[in-house]
Amino acid sequence: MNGRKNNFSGKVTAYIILTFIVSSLVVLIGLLIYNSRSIEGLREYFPAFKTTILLINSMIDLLSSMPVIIIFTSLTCFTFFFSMGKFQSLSFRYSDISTPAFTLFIIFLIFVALSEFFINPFLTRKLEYQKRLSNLANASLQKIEKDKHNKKYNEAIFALKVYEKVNPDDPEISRLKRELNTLLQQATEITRKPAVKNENIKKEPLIGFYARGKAEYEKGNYYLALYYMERALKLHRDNEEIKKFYYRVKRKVDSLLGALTIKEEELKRLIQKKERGITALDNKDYYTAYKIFKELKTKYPNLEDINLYFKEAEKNILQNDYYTTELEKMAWMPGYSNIIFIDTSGYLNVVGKMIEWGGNYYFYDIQRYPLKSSSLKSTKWKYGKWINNAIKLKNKNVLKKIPEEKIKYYNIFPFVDPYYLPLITNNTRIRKELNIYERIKLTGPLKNSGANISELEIYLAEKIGILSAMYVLTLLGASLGWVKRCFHERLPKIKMLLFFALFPPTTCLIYRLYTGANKVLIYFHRYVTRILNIKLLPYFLIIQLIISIVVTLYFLTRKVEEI
Amino acid sequence: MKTILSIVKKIVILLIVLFIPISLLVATSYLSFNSIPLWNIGLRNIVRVIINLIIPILFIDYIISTTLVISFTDKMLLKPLAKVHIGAIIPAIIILSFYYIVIERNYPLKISEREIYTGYLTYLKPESFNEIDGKIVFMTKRNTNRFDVYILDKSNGKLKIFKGIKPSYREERGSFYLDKNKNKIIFYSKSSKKNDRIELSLTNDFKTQMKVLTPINKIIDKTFIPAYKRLTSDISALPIKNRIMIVSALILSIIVFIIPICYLMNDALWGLSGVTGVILVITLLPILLLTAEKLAGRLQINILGSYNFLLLPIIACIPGILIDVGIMISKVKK
Repeated sequence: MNGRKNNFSGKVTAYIILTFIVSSLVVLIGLLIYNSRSIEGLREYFPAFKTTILLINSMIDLLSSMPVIIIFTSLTCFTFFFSMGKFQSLSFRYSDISTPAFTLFIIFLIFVALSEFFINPFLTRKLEYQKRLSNLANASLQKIEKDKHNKKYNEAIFALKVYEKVNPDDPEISRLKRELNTLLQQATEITRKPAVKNENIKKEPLIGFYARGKAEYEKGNYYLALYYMERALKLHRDNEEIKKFYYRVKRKVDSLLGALTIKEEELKRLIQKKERGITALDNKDYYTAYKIFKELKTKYPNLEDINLYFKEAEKNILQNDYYTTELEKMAWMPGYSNIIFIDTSGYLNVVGKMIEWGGNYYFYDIQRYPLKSSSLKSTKWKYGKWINNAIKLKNKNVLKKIPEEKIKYYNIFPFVDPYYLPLITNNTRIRKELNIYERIKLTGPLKNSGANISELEIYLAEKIGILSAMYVLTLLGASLGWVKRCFHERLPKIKMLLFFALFPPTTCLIYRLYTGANKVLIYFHRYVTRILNIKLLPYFLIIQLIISIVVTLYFLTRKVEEI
Repeated sequence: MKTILSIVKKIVILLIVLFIPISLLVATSYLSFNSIPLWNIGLRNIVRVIINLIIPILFIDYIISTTLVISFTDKMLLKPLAKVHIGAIIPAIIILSFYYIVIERNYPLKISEREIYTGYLTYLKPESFNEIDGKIVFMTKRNTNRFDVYILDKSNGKLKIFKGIKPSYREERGSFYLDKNKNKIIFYSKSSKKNDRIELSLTNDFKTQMKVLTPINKIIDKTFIPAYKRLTSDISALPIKNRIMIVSALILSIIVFIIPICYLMNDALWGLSGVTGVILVITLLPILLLTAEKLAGRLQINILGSYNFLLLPIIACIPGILIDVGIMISKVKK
């Protein structure tokens, strides 16, 4: 008995899976041919990305068509294959095909659920990413040619680096690199200028500060001695001898009274300012330190320690700030245009362009309109960069500390991360790119940002509707296929041809009608609530559950004798 | 007699059962075709559309019911074929009688003249970005009846703001107004500056906001929809008596076409073949009517005198008659 069941189970599983694979392959090939002719702008995509874009697009379409393929598979198997001679034995029972088929349909259902909630959004995002890379590759090559022509070789090299990251397998990259480096070298030799001499304090090597300090102390140049000892102490903090001598020099300097020479006055100011700058660095007041050391650097450009302190202050500031030159360098890259969104401060923001590169987001031409105000005036900003969960706004290439009370003016705090900002006005991308986790997390914030997004309940109901449509129609198709199965010894060719020609699009149509009917049910919930106080999800689930139970019972209770 | 009554009973039952789903399908498709968004259309408007389109709905309902009954009734009971035709004609007579007695006499307005009620809330969702005519429109409530509207032109990034404007039934300063004749929504600012007015076209942006059926737009929009509009305008231009004649003749020609095809596809040894027959009929019928309509338009002959308007149904019934004759001949040979 078990052997009989296993024999039928194996055949049933084999037939269903084989039919499913063949149908999927036929659909995939059709989609590849159709998409290769109909994908908008496929010809403009970069050659290295065209195939990937075509494949991912077709896979997405295939996964979206999965419910229809499964319904058609169940219909075909139950109307043709399971009425064949192999299944016509005295011991054959309907449950021999219904049980393994039902198990397989549940597995298909789980796969379709995963596909709807996770796989399709993942692939759609990948597709968008590939399209962006393709646009970037095209733009990079155009930029390289343009900069070469305009003799802006540094910019061309930067564009080449971008292109290399986007399309590293292109053999032309090394040739372009060599060419640009050669051109840059030639240009540099022509324009090399003589070094500028600085009349201020001479450049000192970093070694021998202790010796210099000692020498100046012995000469009586206490301020200069202090200056060298300061640097020596910085480099050798644990050296007790240097420490002792430093404090000795410092005490001497502190005890000095009377008129100072101009040079000593200047030195004194230098040391005092430097001390203030170092204190600011130690207190993590990087903007103050930056301002001090920038001033000192301008006055004493050859002092490497000042330069080092300046770079340290700058480095710390740039963790939470930026130079606009960074954005000017990237402005040629393609990005998202005319993004509009509401932020947490109640402003309507219009961003001319947003670029994503290297894990950073850059914004250009930003206008902000206060929604509650009756004024038509806006504030305009040239640049913005995503830092610390905000878009930091700037017009000038300066690093300046923003007072606490003005932070909201100089920063945009959106409801969502910048990746989602272009989606706010694009319902298709919202529908296709967000997986269920993101949808649950972001429905509220996207709505607050102004997105015309359906409520989470409606989204979940629609997804349940898709799964329910697949489940109900698969079982219904199988049941009807069985009840109306083919008993011909020789299959009627014309009728079979018509079946395979007409049923696939009909299945698709019936599936769409069922999912459309589900949407109508969701729509009518607003009228049902006038009579019954029930939320959308329970209302919808109950209806789908009733239909599913009825259909499941109908499917499982068919008989062999029934025609 | 039994055969006829049995067929009539089955068709009538299916007519009633399928009426609501087909009504909803036709109504939502009609609204989608006319670029009217469905997310906020309202039940009353859907009912109005169903009433406006009652004749095409009944027509589609009748075709589907008849094909299903003929395809799935035991072939042994479908003899002789002439009785099957009669059984199918009787429900058509009932429907036509209803049309003449109830609709023609009491609701003489043409379909195109009846209105559904739409307002700005059909097209604009407040507090969110709506896309109309290539522009992003954001409407936020200022107070009870005043809105601030921001319109971003995606092509050039320019933003136009209308502060404190109210919805209106006519074009006036400081308002927005739905011009249904031109299918536009017009925003008019309070101030009299240059560029104080924006018109947004409402067509072509809303076709798929709530998909019930996604037609292959290019084919249907360019062939069937214009043919349907031509046919209905030609029929409604006729006097009432001729209108009844042409509609009856058309239905008869359709019956003559669908019965033999369903009969042929009806297969006792393979029940699902009947479903193939239904699909075949539904696929071929519009093609038949479209071809007949085009042929009738091109044939510049006047053989029927004052009844020349019956040329279309006569051409439409030729394939059906030929199939009927073929079935009869094959039966005689057997």
